[in-house]
Amino acid sequence: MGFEEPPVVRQRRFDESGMEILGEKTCLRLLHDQSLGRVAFIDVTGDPVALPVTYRLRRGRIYFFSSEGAKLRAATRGARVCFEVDGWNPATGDGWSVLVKGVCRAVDEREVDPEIGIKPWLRTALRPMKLVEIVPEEITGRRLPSSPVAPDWD
Amino acid sequence: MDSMNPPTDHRGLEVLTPEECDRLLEETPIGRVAFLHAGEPQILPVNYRYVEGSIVIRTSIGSKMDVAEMQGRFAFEIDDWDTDTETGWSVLAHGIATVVTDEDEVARLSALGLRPWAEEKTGDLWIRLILDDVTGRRIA
Repeated sequence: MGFEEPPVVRQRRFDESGMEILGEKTCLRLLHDQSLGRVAFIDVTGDPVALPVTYRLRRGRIYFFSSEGAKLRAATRGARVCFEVDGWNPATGDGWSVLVKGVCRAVDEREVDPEIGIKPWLRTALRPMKLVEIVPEEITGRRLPSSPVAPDWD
Repeated sequence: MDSMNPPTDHRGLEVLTPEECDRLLEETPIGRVAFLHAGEPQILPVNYRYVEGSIVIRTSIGSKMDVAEMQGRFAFEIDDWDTDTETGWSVLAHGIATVVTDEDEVARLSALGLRPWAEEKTGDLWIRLILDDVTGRRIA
């Protein structure tokens, strides 16, 4: 036992719509704890696309496998994407969300730590799955005031 | 067609029937809308209802979900994933967003008890997402 740091009480911050703004540490913890996210990008025809992916956060980057081929190919050449995870309480409708804006690219699996511990969403995939990473440029999170996710890590 | 083997897509995923997609759209309270915002892809979670084949969202004037900001087409997504069994499903849709302006319809939608994901003080705005392409997959 020794000197104990007093708890740092930070001012909770809210945006203009009354949602609590989550700090980056909380956002990273939520991203680390979740396994299903959705990646949104603009396809070659200019249409927005949203795809669910199982992912892992490793060393601050988001990794997932995709067999989307042509659809995602454009996005994996350094296109900007928006990645989303959320959680909600079906009983109350309360929830939180974390958005990651960044650049998406295909990566050589040999470049990546084999301990990354992710596998393709599809066990029965007929096509080879490509490993894709998102390099975050901006991470933001929001929570409804009564939501169970406590922003205690900021 | 062998009825014991449901149809699969080019990736080997089971394709959900239109009836299954309809049922999942009716039963799921939260979805995500992806759209082009200021030249970049944006995706936001929304509380929604599936009414007469359209997605209905309550938002507010001037919010990110304001249809004026959505610039044309959108993508809509719902899913469920069980991390223990590693099974799940997703339904993806595309379409065009319109603002509901008819007062009777606004009154009818207001009676649904739908609350916006984020409350803003600028006044309610009801958005109808007219779906022109709905596909579902099961992952097992």
